[in-house]
Amino acid sequence: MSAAREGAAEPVIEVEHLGKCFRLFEPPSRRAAAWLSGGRLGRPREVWALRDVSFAVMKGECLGIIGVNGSGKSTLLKLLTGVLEESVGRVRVSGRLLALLELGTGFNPELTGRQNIMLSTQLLGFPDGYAEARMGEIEAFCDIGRFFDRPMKIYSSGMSTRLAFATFLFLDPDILVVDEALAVGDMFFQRKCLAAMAEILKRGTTILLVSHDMAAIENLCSRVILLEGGETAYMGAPKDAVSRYFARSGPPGGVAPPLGGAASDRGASADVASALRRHSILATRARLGPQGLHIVAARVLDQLGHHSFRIRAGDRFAIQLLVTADAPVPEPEIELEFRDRFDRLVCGLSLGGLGRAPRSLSAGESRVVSFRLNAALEPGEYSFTLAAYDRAGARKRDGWRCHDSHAGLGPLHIAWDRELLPFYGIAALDCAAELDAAPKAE
Amino acid sequence: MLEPLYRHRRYILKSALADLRHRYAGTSLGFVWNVLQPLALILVFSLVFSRIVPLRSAGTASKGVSFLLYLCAGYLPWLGFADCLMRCLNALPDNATYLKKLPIPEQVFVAKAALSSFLSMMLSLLLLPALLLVFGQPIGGAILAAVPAAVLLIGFGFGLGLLFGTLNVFFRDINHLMAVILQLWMWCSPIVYTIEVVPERYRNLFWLNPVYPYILAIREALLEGRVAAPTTWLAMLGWAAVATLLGLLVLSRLRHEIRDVL
Repeated sequence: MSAAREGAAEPVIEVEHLGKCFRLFEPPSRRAAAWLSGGRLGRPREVWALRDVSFAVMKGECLGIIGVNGSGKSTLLKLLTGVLEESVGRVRVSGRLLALLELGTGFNPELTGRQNIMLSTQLLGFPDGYAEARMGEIEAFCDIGRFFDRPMKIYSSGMSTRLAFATFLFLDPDILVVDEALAVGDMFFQRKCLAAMAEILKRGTTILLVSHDMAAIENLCSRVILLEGGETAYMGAPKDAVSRYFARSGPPGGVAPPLGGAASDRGASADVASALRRHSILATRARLGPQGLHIVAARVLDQLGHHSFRIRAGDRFAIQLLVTADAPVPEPEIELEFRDRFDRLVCGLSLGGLGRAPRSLSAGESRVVSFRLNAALEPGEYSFTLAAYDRAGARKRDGWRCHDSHAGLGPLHIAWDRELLPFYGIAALDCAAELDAAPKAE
Repeated sequence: MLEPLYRHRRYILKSALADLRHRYAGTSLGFVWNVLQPLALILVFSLVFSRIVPLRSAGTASKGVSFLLYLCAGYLPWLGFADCLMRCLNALPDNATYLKKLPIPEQVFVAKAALSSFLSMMLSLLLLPALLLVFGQPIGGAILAAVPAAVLLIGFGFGLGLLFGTLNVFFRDINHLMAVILQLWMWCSPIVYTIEVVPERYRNLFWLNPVYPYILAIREALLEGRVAAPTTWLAMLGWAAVATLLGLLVLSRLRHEIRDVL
């Protein structure tokens, strides 16, 4: 106990200006040229997966590492475990580090759970009898019953996760690296794992937790590193790191002026238009149809007017866009469509349908269009499409002509972080409930 | 560079054994297949060369039963060597899942492949004492000299496998190139034919073929019941050591990039 407290001040992991560069030779003959010429010929394409990362982890600390896919999390872990060699900088790890990198892949499907535990510990170079002594505890923690002595090929993926997690937990590492381990198990096992991790943290084990499960990160970690494009975007308190993670997974940051004005401002105010241009989420310039109506910029604003792709279910939010007419457009129409992960149309709205379309636009005229919405949707990810049309002919029966379209925008993350959703199903109908007054007692 | 092999010795042994067991898992003849395959080819060779196209001036060895034994004693070790080389060559890509996740030195997996080849080669070589008994040939203690010779042969295969296996990670053509080379190499070695087929003044050229001393030593031990000459042992040891050192050297130069490429 006291030993653990004494050791609390010593860093078990020290990382200084760590960088990893992958040198890609395409085609492979360029590598031969580089070798034979001593590096003068066949220069490789250099890809920096990690750049100038520095931190220290104290004994008994739980450090979280978060970031979007491709931000360098796995590369960082591989450098720490020694699987990859650093290009620049220094890594120092003291004590035995065990990594659960992508659980269960090291297991042989022909062998039973018990045999696999033996083989894994041998693979990791543990002394004789090390696993045997802990087999009872491991078996009890896995709680997979008689499957423990059956070949792993008949295991469910959750069972392999249980086995792997239990093995690594009871091998008493000094540092445990947990990479997305909790995503596979069921809720009860996840809870058990979190409790077990909290327990070994108390015993002085250091944990590095890599996860997209922000609740687990906030619960367990004392400090969090947010990686972005291979660099440290933030390091500090879990709550701050997580909120930055969500802010950054959306559009470029910044706070917009409070939402105001009518659904379609007359004569786009210069401020709003320039803010729109600066924070536009439109990446591609996919122009369809004739020149004319043109969606120049668009953005998503949450209830507080922040740029964000993360909206809490039930909150109000706005999608704002800037349209410009290059030529006179008779009946312009702006359309907004939401689609879910399965590309099912959730809801389509249009300015005309809402009775707000202007009668016409003159050449060179710009307008800001704001759609105010209520995110009364089932939590999940949604994409949206923005499109500009006009009426192709003079007669009402003629079709619409598409001028500009941006599909697959987002994803818009409808989130829920409390206990119970106020509704269930794919969307909430606008509803106010009333209860008549209690009948008077006679 | 060899210390990790000692540290992971239990894993190497266990997984090589498991490899052997699982290769024939689910078959009813099991390990017999390991012997039946080369045996069928040996029978064809012996039929072709002793009856259909008799080798000229092939000496006493090319007649009937003794030629069959001669073929076995040469071809089985050769198959073991070729198997070892090809497996070592592919050991790194085959174990990419481990290499990309665990900080275990590369040579451990190459050694595992070599050991697994060694075990199956030794099992197939057991066929020879059995055949000697069947045909009423004498069996002496010198037959045991085949074991260290086989160990050195696998050592040579391990070294070459380490060398070309490392390069194979970067240039995948090497794998296919080696399969072609092995074909040619076999016919450059006195395995299917006897050395007497070649004119006397060229016979010393066989010493340039690294596999020759191993085949010679194993064959002498198994068929003639005698331990090979010291120079043969020296050649075997030399080739194995040179190949292994070269392999380790290349690996140590390139190992920092291997896992980036896999």
